[in-house]
Amino acid sequence: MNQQHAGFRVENGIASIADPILYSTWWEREDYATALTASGNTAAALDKRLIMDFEVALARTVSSGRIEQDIDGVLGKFLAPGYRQHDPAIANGREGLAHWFRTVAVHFPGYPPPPIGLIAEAGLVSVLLSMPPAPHQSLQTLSPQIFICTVFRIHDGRLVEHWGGGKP
Amino acid sequence: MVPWGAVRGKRQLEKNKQLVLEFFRRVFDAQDADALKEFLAPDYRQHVRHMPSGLPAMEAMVRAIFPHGPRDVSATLGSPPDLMIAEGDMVVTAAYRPQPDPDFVDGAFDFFVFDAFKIKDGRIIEHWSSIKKDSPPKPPK
Repeated sequence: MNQQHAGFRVENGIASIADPILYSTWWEREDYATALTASGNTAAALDKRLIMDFEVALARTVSSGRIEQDIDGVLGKFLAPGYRQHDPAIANGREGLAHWFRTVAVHFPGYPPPPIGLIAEAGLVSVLLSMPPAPHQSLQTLSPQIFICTVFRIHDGRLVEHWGGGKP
Repeated sequence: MVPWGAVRGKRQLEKNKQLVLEFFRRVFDAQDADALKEFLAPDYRQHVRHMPSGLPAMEAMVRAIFPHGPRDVSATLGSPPDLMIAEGDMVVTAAYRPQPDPDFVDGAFDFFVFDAFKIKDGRIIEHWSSIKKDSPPKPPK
């Protein structure tokens, strides 16, 4: 279960990124998406692929600078109409998430963080994202690596609910 | 018909979830550093900076947090996670931990804490967390 790829390695479903260039190219790497969404369970593999496709679509929207024009289309494609948000940093519903991208994500420096692991069971998918290593402001070293963990619920091929760890 | 391999796989996922719940109960509810060795692999790897890697360092941390432990513990976990997901050798937990609202006295906002664990040979071998060292959530009063 240990696969070697160009710039990354996936061991038991969790990716280790060896080449930093991947932090700014992962959304163009089909081999990365394929390796990360593999599962012995067919339903889990489908759910993981849906979430990976959503993350890729968001990353393309953010990295291309086309949040204003494209975000409604992306969210309309992936989110169910009654999408429920459980993240204190983001308002409820599709509109709440679109607003967050237009007002907050638009100011984030750098690139959308890559998912490094997708864990799926019974319509729930947890995503582990890894923030790119960044020089620390005061220490002569890299900042501690930061991971984001978040959970989506899927129903009928759409995202219906999300739990996130943001703070208002 | 459900293939036998799937049944066995499902049972293993439930065992992995149970291991994580027992880890919370027997170590943190019981405030018992000595119980850690039953749950963590010796080379336990930590991906968060507010907790150390390795079993001995984790034992020292739990002893420092709970100098008066261990204590008697209930048969069920005090504050169980609200959501658990298991696949392969991974278990993810999300726990509802509302936080004091900075804008309203005595107000609170909804907040979830996430942990991801990798299990190997019946022990937890890796841990990721949503908690950041520079803005840890506040424990309930």
